[in-house]
Order: sequence, then C-alpha cells, then structure tokens
Amino acid sequence: MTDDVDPLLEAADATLASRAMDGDVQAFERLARRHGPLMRVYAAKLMGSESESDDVVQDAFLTGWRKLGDLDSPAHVRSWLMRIVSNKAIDRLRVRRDHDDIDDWDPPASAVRSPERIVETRLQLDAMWSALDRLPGDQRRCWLLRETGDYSYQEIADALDLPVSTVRGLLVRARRTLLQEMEAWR
Amino acid sequence: MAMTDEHAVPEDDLDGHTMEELADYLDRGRTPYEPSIERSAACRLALDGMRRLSQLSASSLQQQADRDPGRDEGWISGLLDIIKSEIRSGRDVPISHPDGALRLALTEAAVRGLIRRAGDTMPGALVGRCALEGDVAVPGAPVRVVVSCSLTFGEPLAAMADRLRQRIAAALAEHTELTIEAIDVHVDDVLPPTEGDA
Amino acid sequence: MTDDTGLSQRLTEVARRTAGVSAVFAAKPAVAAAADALAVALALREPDVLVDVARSEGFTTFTVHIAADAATPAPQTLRAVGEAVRDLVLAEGAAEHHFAVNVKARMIEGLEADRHD
Repeated sequence: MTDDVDPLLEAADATLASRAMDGDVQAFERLARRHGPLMRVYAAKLMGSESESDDVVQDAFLTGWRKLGDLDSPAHVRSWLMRIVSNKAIDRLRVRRDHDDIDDWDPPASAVRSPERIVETRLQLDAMWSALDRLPGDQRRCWLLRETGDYSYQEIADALDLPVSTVRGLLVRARRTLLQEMEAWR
Repeated sequence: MAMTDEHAVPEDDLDGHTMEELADYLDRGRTPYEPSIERSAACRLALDGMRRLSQLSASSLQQQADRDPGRDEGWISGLLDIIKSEIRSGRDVPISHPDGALRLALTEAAVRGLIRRAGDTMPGALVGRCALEGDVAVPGAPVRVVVSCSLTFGEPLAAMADRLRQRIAAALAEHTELTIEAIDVHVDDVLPPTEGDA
Repeated sequence: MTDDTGLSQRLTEVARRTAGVSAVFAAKPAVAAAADALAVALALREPDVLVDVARSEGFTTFTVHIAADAATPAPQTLRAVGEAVRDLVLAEGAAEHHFAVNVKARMIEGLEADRHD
C-alpha cells in the first residue's frame, strides 16, 4: 500500500479554515502552501521589495493563525488572509516612506522583449509582469491593491494617504498604460 | 505622430463615456444594464480589454508564485515552528489512576486531533469542524462529539456516516476514558470521486 | 536555588523510554519559559531537560508532556509514564514528603488508515 497521500491536499478552503480554527496546524499549513506563494509575490510587487516579502507574508499568516477566531466565515479565509497581507505590506511601505523617503522606489524593469518575437501564453504573462514593473510606483500600488487586494477606492486612498480623486486618476492611468502595453498581445 | 507623454491622460473616445466610468461599471458586474455602454462597440471593446487585463494581471502573479515550488519553504517552516510552539491545548481530559499523586490527562487538542485522524484515515472522508460538548474535565460527565465532514460520493451516505461514527467511537474508547453520549456527524459536502479512488 | 537539571534529564530519559511514548516535549510552555531567562538558557543548552521540576514550600511537582503512539492505548501509556517517573523520584529520594506527577499527552500520533485490500 502506498504511503498516505495527505487527505487535506484537495480539501476546500472552508474545511481547512474550520479545522485550523479548531487548532489543526496541518490544515493551516495547507492553507499557507496553497495561498502563501501568491501572497508573497503580491507583497513583493506591492512593496517593490523581494527581500521583505517573506517576512511580511510570514507575519501575516501568523497574525491570521492567532486571530482565526475573528474570521466570520471559513469560506472567506483566502480574502481575509489577503487583507492581512495587504495591511502588513502597507505598514512597511509607510515606515519606509517615513524613514527613507524612497516613496517611488521602482524595481529595475526586466529586459524588454520585442512582442513580435514572442508568441506563447507564458511569455504573455511575463510581458504583463514586466509591464507592471514599468508602471510608476504609485500607479502600480493602486493597481495591485485594487485588482489583487480587492480594496475599494476609499480603502486605497486611506492606505496610501492620497485623496480618492488621485487614486481614481492613478488607476485610470495604470489601466491605460497596461492596455497600451498589452495591445501587442491581442 | 507625437510620442505619448507618460503622464498625459489622452482624451477617451468612448461614445461619451470615460474609462473610469467603464471601470466602475465593470466593478459593479455590468449591472444595472447600461444601454449607452452596452450598445457602443468602443465601450464593449474597452470593457473587454479591461477584463482581460485583470485576468492577465492575476495570472502573471500566479505564474510567478508557481515558478519555483521550493521558494516558499523557508518562511512556511519558520511559520509552523512558531505556531507549534504556541498551540492552544484546550481543556484537560483526565485519565484515572489509583495513586492520587499521579495526575494524568490528554489535552483537548490531542483528543480532537485523534477524532480528525480517525475520520481522515477512512477512505472517502474528510473531517471539518470537531467539537467536544460537555464537561470533558469531569470524569464520567456525558460528552457529545460533534463533527462536520465531507464525504466522497460512492456508497450510501448514511452507511458512510455510520462507519465514521464507529471509527471515532472506537478511537475514543481506546484512547480516552470519556463517557460518550452521542457522536453527531454532519455531512457538509459530498464530493465527486477523484481519479485515485477506484 | 536548587539545580534539578540532572534530575530532570533522568526523568526525561525514563519517560522517553516508556512503551507507547513517541516523543517528550518541553513541559514548560514557551511563553512562560521566555519570562524566565535562565530557563531559556538552560533549555537551549540542554535539549534533554524536558521534564519540569517545580519545588514550592515542601511540595514538588513534576510535569511531563508527551506524544503518545496510537499503537498503545493512551491511558496505558500515561499510567506507565506516571508510574515510571514516580518510581524514579521515590528511588532517588528526589522529592520531599509531598509530591505530584502530572503527565499530559499533547498528541496521539500514528493512527493507522483503513486497509481495504
């Protein structure tokens, strides 16, 4: 007989969250493995810092574990954790802005590819990834908080200390730039 | 044609609508139906582009996340170390001993873990919530076990639930001294069989 | 301050060797231990000092936390550990007149899966 396949591997988020609420570490581990990598990538992109993203996502999951009792519905565990990750990343951004004044730190753009030479979907996603990198920092943050973090305009404004009207404008610009960048892929 | 200025927002030519309006409309799930948007080919094209952009954005992040499967091992194992060191043990579930100087107990967490394991090791079952109702700390006090589970569709559900109940009862009888009054099994979910199960 | 390190080490060993025990955990919770810098330092240096020995006004409490192997009924394992610890304490005259032995199983591991074939 083959050794145990982890019965939690295919369990629904809601099941895993319920069990984690009962103190099941393995169930929480499964949630971390399922959703953590994306959240880590998101945090890195949001902060413009790969090196801090591990800390942020670990800290966020730890907070999640300790506050599982506050989770209103186990089925919403993913967006609830995502929210915690967003908050933690924004806290770091604030600290950095207050101390280092490198508000608009932009990661180096990846090598620019010529769209005509690239045909595969995977590379289309690479193109999107580098297009996001090329966005100015404030546009990128607005875009990620809106699209991935599921923040409202007001919440983005509060998080980034910007007027709502500015957030709207930044999102319009981000959307327009990305549409132009990705036009070649249609 | 002039080079585009990075910061200029060119005029939209969207039959009287702005990109921002369209974005809001998309966010609302395209409801309530707005004829002046839906009947405009330019608007529909822009909406389509925006939706595609969202998908690409999400997929590109996911692709990065999936790129290196070992990449997250470090922070996850660190996380688990911290969590394990602060496990909530719950109440003590006593085990008797004739020598009064010996105080023996299982933690409630251990008993719940046992119940989950009894369920999970039954093919086709996966335990969800698990609660011990009653005063587990008082020897002989009646205790009710309440578990939720998902079952893989196969044999009749009632029979599977019965078997799960029996497995839990057997594990509790072997490893605890609890007086189990009832074991309530709530089937939350019935899953289609996976390829692995014959 | 009495140094019970050697005693704790021997008690840890006796618990670990008891049939049905799959692991012995540090009995002092991490949070409580953190408040006690010395305990942390000792724990770091002595990974085999896991049984807690607490002496207070003539009463000694020995606390042992274990993981039980599901192949043996947990009550049987707990009793065996309790008795082994008690017997060693008595044999060494390690406690004053009154003492208690607390043994707690924090997990039961290794429950077998159904075998259908």
